[in-house]
Amino acid sequence: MSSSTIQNNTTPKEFSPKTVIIWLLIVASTMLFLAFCSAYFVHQGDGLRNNAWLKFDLPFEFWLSAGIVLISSFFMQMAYRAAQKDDIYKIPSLLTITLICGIAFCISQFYGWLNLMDRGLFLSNKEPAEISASFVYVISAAHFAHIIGGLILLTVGIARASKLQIHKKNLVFINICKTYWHFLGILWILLLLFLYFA
Amino acid sequence: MSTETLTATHTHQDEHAHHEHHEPSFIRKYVFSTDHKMISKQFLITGIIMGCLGMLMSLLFRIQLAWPDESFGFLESLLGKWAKGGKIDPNYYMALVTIHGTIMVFYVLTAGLSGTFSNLLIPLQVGARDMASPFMNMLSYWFFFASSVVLLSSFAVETGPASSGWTVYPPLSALQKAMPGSGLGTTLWLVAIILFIVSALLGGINYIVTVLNMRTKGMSMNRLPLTIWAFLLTACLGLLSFPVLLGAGLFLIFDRSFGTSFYLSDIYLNGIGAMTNSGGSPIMYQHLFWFLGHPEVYIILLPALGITSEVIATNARKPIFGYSAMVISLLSIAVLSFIVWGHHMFITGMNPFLGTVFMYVTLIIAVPSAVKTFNYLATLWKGNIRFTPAMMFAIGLVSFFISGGLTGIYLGNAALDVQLHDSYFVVAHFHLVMGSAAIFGMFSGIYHWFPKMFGRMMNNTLGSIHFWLTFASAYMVFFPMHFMGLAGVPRRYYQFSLIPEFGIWMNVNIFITVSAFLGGAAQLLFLYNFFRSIFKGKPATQNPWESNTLEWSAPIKHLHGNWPGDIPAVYRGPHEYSRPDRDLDYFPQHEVGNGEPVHYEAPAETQKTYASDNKDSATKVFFSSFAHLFLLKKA
Repeated sequence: MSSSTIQNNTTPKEFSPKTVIIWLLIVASTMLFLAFCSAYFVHQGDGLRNNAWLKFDLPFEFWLSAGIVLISSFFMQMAYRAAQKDDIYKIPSLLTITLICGIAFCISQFYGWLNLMDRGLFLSNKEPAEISASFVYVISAAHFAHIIGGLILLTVGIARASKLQIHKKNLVFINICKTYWHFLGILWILLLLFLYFA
Repeated sequence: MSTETLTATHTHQDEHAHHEHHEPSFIRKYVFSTDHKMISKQFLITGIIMGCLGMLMSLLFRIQLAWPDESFGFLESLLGKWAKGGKIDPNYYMALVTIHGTIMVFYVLTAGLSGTFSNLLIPLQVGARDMASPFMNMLSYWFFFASSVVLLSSFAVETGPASSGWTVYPPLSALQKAMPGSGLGTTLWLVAIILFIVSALLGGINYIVTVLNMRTKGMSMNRLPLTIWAFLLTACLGLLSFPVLLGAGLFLIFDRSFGTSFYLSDIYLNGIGAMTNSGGSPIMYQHLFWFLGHPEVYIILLPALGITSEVIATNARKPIFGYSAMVISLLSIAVLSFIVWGHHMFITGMNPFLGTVFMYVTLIIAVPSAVKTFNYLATLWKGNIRFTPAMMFAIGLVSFFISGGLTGIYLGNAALDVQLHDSYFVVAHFHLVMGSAAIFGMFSGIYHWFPKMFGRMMNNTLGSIHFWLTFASAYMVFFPMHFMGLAGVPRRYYQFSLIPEFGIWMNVNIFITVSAFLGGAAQLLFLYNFFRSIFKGKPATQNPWESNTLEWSAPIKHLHGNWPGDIPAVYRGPHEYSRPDRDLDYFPQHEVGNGEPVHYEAPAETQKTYASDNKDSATKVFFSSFAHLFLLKKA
């Protein structure tokens, strides 16, 4: 048989499988938070109808967290840019600063919960109206759990960058870190706005 | 004649090729295997074991339903304190019903079916060396295994397993003292389901990525076998719906253990008094649960439909009728499944307008379902049918899909559902359309791909007897239940002999129970055939069913990486059977015009590495990085 030409119905290769995996995880996480938020709406509707829905100010620390997460995203992006430019010796430090910001975020969340407790708003509710506080705890805790995952990812990223395994030709891992970390930042800001305006 | 060598960049796949000759240890090969074929066997064997246990539970509670006033000594021997005097305890009866449903829905028909065949077929049929992330794939199985162990361990709990039904509705599930099974049993149920969700997400994400990213040369989306389309859409459904069940489960855990009241309000427990919970709504749980629950029906059914499409086309020796219509139908069913959950809740007091919306979108699902049914029938029409056991089970699925689907039209109608809800009509409906149809799809897949999994053939005669006994017993069990349901017989009741109005159904209950035992006996035949064939079955040939799809081009003996050389390229769709221009009545996807296989070579991508040149330790690099950052040092 003479050489034949294969029709070039190639598989899409623009995204590595690992990048697609992280996007799909983001979709799954988004569905979880959508479930929480829709449950919040349902309860709020019932609560407002029965005059049993407590509106309260979100802790100042939660807003501080939003600032911290924005700063961390900035450094994450810088780390990614450094990898793109093959400025490989800057990557570990930039990822470390991102990690420190992440830890600061966790601490501010913790103080945010203390703030709520100081105001008598606990996870368990004594009055029907206080269920709004339960939602704030659960939603912020679920986001906190995601941040812990992000910190683990960053730690692995720092180790890899320190071994010079992250560079211009190998951006997959830092791309995963960047995507996930930005997602966490955007998610927190959206959740905060949701809890503020809803 | 020369074999053309093509170049392509398949770096992910060829990473695996380097490991072909590496012989893994026993533990890595059979226990913590990352090979998709071994993982599929693990899912299948675990699924079969769970299926046997689930069926055993159903036989036990069927004994109670058929002879509610009789005592059986063997029950006490088997169940101990839960069957004192030879009669099953009412709470344990509820636990059996609950765990039977949980096992069958999640552990057999979700993990056992989708886990087995998605793992086996996705890499082999799309032409990939393995899954996108073999490690995640391994984790998926072991989360499933751990989940199974945790669920079954609830039988060892003093207060018994969860017993508030497979849907674990609050308040029974949210209050630890509501009934015996509401205590540790329900806690274990929740832990098991959370582990299961993690398993399903890890698996599903892998399936999607493998199909989207790792198809071989020429395997465009419109050349994918319908099995792969079904697995892909199933994984998408799981990805979007399981996190919602996770959210529902987390709220439930908070209510049970942390004093919140998401689902609880104004509860008075007999013997304990008024509970302090306030402000919650148990209906919210139902919304969250059924947002998963209804797509779950299709998570169960779509893989079975995909398997059936492949088996029917192969054994009718005809192209599947309306490939595009089949894909569009699968897509439509998948999309619609997300907006119909409210039909499970017509009697919760929802706004009638909302109920009407849910009713209409539910009834619309009949359209793509009918398209699929007619396409199956049209494929069979004038086919050169080979009645293999796989084919018979596939045709059996079509039968159940029709008979069970028709009653779905009744139940989707809000006005009728208000009457039929929680009756045996519902039990009959979902056991036919979801239970029996999906189990038949699973059996079809096992018989069809057994040679690919184990390199041996199953016994066809035993397979045929297994089919006829199972087919007959399934109808004998579930068909009479329609009439019981129409007469108002409610589901989940323990002792119908206490209700004189239902006395006329006692003989029917006995008939159903005897039929269930017949079905159970038929499964013993299957187990014998299955396990005997693994070791002593006739050795399989390369392509025993003369099928077109790519998996049959892989060697009979399993290799890590699937193909010894390059991955075959694909030149046509999967259903080119009985082409008039061919002597053979099949035309494998990987063969070029005259039947000569063409391979392409995928060179590993060369990447610049710094790690090999680097003389500094990671610690030194880490600290010097800060100097670089603050411009103290130049790179």
